[in-house]
Amino acid sequence: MNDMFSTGITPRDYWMMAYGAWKTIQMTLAAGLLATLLGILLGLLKMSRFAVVRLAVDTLVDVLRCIPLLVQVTLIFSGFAVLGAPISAFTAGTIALTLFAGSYTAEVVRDAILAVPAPLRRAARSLGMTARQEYAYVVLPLGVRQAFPSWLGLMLGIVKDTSVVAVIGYAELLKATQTIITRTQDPLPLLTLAACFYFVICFPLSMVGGYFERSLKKRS
Amino acid sequence: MISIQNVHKSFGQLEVLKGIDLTIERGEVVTMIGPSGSGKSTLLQCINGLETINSGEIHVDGTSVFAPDTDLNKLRQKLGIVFQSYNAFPHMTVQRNVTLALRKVLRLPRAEADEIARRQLDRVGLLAKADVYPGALSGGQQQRLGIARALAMSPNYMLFDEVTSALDPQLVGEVLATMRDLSSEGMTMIAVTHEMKFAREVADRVVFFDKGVIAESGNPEEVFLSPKSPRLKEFLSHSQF
Repeated sequence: MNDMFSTGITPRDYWMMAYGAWKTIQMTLAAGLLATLLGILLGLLKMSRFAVVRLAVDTLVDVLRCIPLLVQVTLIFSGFAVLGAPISAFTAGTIALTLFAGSYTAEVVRDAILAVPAPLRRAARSLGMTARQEYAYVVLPLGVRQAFPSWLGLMLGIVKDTSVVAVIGYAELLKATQTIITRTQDPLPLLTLAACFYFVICFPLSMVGGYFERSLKKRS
Repeated sequence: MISIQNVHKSFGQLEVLKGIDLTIERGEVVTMIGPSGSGKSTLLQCINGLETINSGEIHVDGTSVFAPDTDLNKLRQKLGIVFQSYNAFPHMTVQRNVTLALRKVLRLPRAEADEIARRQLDRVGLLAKADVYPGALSGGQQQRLGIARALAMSPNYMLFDEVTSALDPQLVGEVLATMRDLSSEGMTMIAVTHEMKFAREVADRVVFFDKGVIAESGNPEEVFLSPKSPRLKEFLSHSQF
């Protein structure tokens, strides 16, 4: 039987969705890594002693957080195309997710650093540590413990937000599912299956995160 | 020698130090007493540059603390400070709290740093706790850790910011003994304290702070037994020594 004319779910459909899930994971990994790096950079710049730098970063973060992700994805994808330098849907989606999640990460990073008690930082400096050593051995290790739960939440958010990139044709999990639905005309079982795929991706991340969080707590 | 000359310091509109002059010779033990908010702790934090001053001069062994070309990180190695709020690094074991600066600031090899740390922890009675995290220690134990951590850097001066306030009563004696040992080794000490008995026993010289000025100073007998200023008389009438 030719799959193309079947209205039932065929084994090939499962593979298509699994492949879509893999593309979701790829984009999550790329955007998650880049957003984390961007967030750390912006978070540190948010505390710059230069008011101009703080203002610039705050404005950027506010703009990025106030525009719906769907709009950002579309703007970036078509913007590059209009400028005559078209980029792939993967690149456009990764850039948009990086900027979007990175701006939230910046807030998390800033709050985590501010949460390190000032007297502890003084104690580090009183022992003769440089500002850099104070950051490396006291502020960052304590800040990471503080930031970790919120950061993990943002990463789980990226997994789910990759579905937005479907609008520009990136064949991630949701796009793959929609494609199959147009043939079967029976969305419910397929969307349920897609939901299961998302859960299977997110749940282990959440579990590993929870374990990591507990082990950090045990050591302090 | 620590020399403090005409130091003024304000937090916003509030002037907390209004012209402090004080010289502390090597080997001397100076205790600072006075009402809360009189500027004692602030002065202590100015000595190692953790707080800035508005005017005046502070010199430590001839080095000006606030000169632009002074390497404060280097200067602070000479000045151990123990805080009221313990300030143990919560993410490191007791021993690592002590070895951190030895390894990273003084760049000692691990074995040597560990040996120094264990010696100092033994001195303050915490050797058995070397491998636990500060969260598992009592307040008193955390304060002793703070002392061991500062002593490990072999400073020329030790600054104590109300270090006994949080200690269990049975540990105060042990800390006093540690401080006497220190002074007999030539350690110069400045201790801000609300414990008058302690201030009297351990000091060569007692300095009474009131409203941002040194209202009176002298040897413990003079200050405690024949106070001259009415403010000191009144202050001492509220305490036991």
